[in-house]
Amino acid sequence: MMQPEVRIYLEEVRSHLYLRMDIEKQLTAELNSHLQQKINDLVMQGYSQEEAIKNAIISFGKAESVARLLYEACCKGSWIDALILSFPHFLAALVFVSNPLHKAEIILPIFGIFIAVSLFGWFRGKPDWLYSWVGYTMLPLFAGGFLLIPIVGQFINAVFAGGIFPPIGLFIGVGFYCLSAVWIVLKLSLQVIKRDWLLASLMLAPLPIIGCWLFHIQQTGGLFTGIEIEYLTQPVAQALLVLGFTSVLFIRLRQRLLKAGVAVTVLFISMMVVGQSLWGDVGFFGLLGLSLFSLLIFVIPAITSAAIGHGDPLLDTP
Amino acid sequence: MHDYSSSLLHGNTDMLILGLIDEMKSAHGYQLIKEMDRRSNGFFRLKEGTLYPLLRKLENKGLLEGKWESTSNGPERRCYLITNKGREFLNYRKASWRYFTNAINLVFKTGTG
Repeated sequence: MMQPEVRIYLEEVRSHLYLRMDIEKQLTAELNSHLQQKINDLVMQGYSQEEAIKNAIISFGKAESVARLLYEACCKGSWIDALILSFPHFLAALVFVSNPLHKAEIILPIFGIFIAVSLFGWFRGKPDWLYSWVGYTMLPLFAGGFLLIPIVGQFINAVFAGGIFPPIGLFIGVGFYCLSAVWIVLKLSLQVIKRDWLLASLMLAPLPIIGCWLFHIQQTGGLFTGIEIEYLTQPVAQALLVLGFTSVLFIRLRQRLLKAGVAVTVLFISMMVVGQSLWGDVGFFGLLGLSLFSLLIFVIPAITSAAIGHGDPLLDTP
Repeated sequence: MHDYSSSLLHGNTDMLILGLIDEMKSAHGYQLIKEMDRRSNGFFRLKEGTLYPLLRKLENKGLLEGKWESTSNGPERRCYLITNKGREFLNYRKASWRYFTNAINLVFKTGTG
């Protein structure tokens, strides 16, 4: 049986690990086994049970430092992991650069691949490469929301400015879609945040980039109005390509702070490039808005993670 | 431990761990710490918090293999065995260490002779 002091210590170690659940369970079980042997030895040397537990925990060192070293030892993915993690970004970049966005026969199979790989990874131990695929799986929900903005706008206009109400069936459909989409995105994001908020941020990173493009499309008349979108897709493709290379770096780096720094910087620069390409000179407030938007992708998961905690409670057995 | 000895240990811990496991055939973390302490008369005192990250690093590099082992009176233990790749690496590190210490001895001998 695990002593309460040992449990608290191991819970603290695990709260800073941010590794796959099965690896975390193995590591804490291994540390527990060591602590139990040390406690037994100290008791046999004449220490009281309380003193033995205290000394055994002290000899291990600060939980956060132990967790950081363990994280750095275990977090580095292989080159194959890096390739699989970055592949959806490259695929999405290819979609944008070759611009088959009006062609359902190309877009639908690609989303089929995103969904199939996400489901495969989700039910196969949730490896680190999974989350970039999940991000793109959520994209249709996100894009659908943008495409429905005019209907929401019409409703708001009807309520506040006395405009014409959209058909009630359409309005209920849109409402149901938006609520379901938000629920799915939140549910998935919370699960990933519980695993590692930094992975959740990386998962969500393409959304603001593509969101800027969708927003611009809406401003210029909508996706299906026949406007020239070839030129506008180039900066998005470039940003997604950069995100793909960043993912490789992300999975190969060991230091968490460095990972976060690289991810924040790249998303920030990508948003600036996309923003400037779409809207030209966005001005000081435009830049400020874009930077805040990209920062929120990291700040919100980090705050949520602090609020909901990390992983499930520790069990006695590995 | 003196700072200099500490840095010497830091650069060679992987060799010491691999060497110990190679001699013991199979060992778990607590055993390794006790054995290292005993064999070096307390000179090499590995910190518990740094041992397990190192064991995992060696395992991820394919130099060690970890296996869970059940015990009669306590939680399961993870025992480590050296792999062929680990043995090759150990032999290489031991040879490098021998060259290094020989060279140092030669320098001192020349200097004082």
